[in-house]
Amino acid sequence: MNILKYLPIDKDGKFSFFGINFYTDDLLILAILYFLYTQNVKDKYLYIILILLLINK
Amino acid sequence: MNDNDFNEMLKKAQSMIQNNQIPDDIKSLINNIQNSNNNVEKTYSNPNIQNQNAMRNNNNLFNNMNNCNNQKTNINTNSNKNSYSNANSYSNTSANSYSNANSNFNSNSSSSSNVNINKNSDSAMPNIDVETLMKIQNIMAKMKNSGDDDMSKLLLSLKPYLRDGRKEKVDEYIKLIKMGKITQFLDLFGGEKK
Repeated sequence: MNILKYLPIDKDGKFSFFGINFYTDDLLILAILYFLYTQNVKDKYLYIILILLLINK
Repeated sequence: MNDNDFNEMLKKAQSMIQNNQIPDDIKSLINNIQNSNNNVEKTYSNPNIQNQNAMRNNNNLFNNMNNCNNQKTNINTNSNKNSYSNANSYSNTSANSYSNANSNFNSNSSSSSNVNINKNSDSAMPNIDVETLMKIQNIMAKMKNSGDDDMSKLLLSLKPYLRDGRKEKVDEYIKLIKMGKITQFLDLFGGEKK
């Protein structure tokens, strides 16, 4: 079953959300950041690295 | 000169004294020498006196050894003080003065060698504090265990799911963060902590 038929994601893993282009790894990083925040992780260096990875294309 | 020759001389002198051919001063001198010889022969012929002398010699040696040890400790604790300040080593009789002098010489030589060794060891060892050694040990331990922390494990597990451009960045960021953590332990600019 091809799940990509039901999601607005093209073959390169790119999708548009409110006019901003995202990749699947961006979604993965955002999900990790949210999870770390909800779990009260205090490792600031990990947050910095994940945000830097999110900013860099 | 043998003892027999000396005894013959004494006998001749005695005969001259009996014939009144020697002045009175020399008579008294010869009598004193003869009395002292007789006393020495008696003491050496008596085993009890020999044992007493041996005990005295042993006690003197023991005292000399104690004096040497005291001098060594005095010199080691304060090298500027004179080692001859111990008056006990000079309160013995004149018969022990030679052995005392030898013991003082030996103690001085040994103490001087100890001081030289200490000086050499001080010059060979740089002035390193225990705190700096502990800091170096902590830094080395952090550098060893830098690949085992949870952050690097999470990022390395995330790496296969990232794009090719980001895969390279992940390694660079991990190295940068490791260096940042190491610099926390180093006081690069020195100075006193408030």
